[in-house]
Amino acid sequence: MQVSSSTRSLVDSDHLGPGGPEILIVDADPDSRAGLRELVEPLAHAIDVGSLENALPVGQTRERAAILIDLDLQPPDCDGLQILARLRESSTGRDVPALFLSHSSDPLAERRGDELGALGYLRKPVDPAALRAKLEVLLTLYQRGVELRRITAEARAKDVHMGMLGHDLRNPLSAILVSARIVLMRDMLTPEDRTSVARIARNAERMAALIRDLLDYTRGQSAGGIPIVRQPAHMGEICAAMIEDIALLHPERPIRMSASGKLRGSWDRGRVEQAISNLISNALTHGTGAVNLVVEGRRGEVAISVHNEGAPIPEDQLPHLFDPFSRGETSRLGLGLGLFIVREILRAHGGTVEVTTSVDHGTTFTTRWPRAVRSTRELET
Amino acid sequence: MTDTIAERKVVLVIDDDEDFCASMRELLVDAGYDVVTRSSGRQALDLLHGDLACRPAAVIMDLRMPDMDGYAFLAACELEPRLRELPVIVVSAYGDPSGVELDFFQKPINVSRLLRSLAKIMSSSVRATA
Repeated sequence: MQVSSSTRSLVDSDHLGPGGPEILIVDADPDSRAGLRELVEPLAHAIDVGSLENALPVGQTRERAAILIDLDLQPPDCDGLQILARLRESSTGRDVPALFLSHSSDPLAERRGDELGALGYLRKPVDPAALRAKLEVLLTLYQRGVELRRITAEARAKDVHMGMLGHDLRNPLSAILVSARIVLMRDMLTPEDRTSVARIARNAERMAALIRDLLDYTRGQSAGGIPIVRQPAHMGEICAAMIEDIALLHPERPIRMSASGKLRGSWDRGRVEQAISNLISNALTHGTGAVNLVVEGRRGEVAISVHNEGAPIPEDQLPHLFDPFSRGETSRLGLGLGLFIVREILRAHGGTVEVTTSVDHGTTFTTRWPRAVRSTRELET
Repeated sequence: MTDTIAERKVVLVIDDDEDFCASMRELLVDAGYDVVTRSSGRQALDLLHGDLACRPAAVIMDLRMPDMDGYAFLAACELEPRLRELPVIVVSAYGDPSGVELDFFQKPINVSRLLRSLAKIMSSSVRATA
């Protein structure tokens, strides 16, 4: 038998990189294999498994663009259908497109082949044009799959790098913020200097919040939500401490708080702070005058509302207010993740967030935090 | 200030970020503590082994450090009865520490909360030794 120089045997297939598309040939008849190799080679690497015992070990080594299987194979434990069935059990063979070749039509065998996801049946002797046409379609799909996997892997790598950058930025930010806070707490500054240092701290805090929201967004996308850890806490204390911190950085804007009712419960303190500080930060940025927090213990929950005066939120923005990246392209204020994160934190706690906005009454975001009802997310984890 | 020098509690800060150590030193000195800084878990252990007089009342420690990281430092402390009870506050830029049940602060840290946490540790150690 003459084997053309362009064909590759099983032995040298091990040297092929995963780069080029490969087509697996499983056929017991040497002449038939030689013919198939010559048809395949101009389009892709032909991997001729030779003897049938090699079909599984070679088939499972990596994912191929397609597999051509002789359906006339007769050995009792090793016919073409069984080889494909076994290949389907491996990760590399699960989705590989399969074409069956046979001398005769056997409806039963073909039905079983269909169940195994066979793409088609070609009569032997194989019509070269028909085989080539099918292989060209399969190879195009295969190349698109390879490209899609490459793009997905790149996108994942970018997410990982963005995450690392976000985390790395926290170290220098930490030094900036602690230093600014120290100076503010020392209380030895002229009013002018105090304003400048507060501005440094305020903007570093904003950067920290943006980084935190972005990292939570990317992590939430991959992990299916924001994780929370409930611990006993007092909403009045949480809010009072937060306001004290924020007020130091916004000396010109009064932030007031009133609290009533029972305020103890079980929440993730860090996440409560993140959500409420996002709302206060929005109120300071978009509203005018004072910001008012009302913390109210109700039956089964604590409600925290954040109110500001000023122009209402435009009506056309309301339906998408809590969607990620929802801000208009003209905005220079950030990615528009803040309210999305607020909603996700509430959702993780089994709570809700609502907004009312009008010219007469300003804007109020009301968050409702169930005291101890365990959310679905917590039960899952 | 009613503190005398002898009464000032020592806080050991372990972080390879020099600026973070410097800012923590300023913060904690202002808050009435004495501060010792080290840039790795290994250096901190050497300090704790070498000088008994410098027994810190609390440790504030980063997790990611060269030489010996925070996890390895905690594991080493766990092996020594003398260090096992040492109160440790973990600060990290990299999310919650896995498998470590300690006071944890995400960088950039909330300064007032850190000071409150530290004060709580100090008051409970006063009660314990009283």
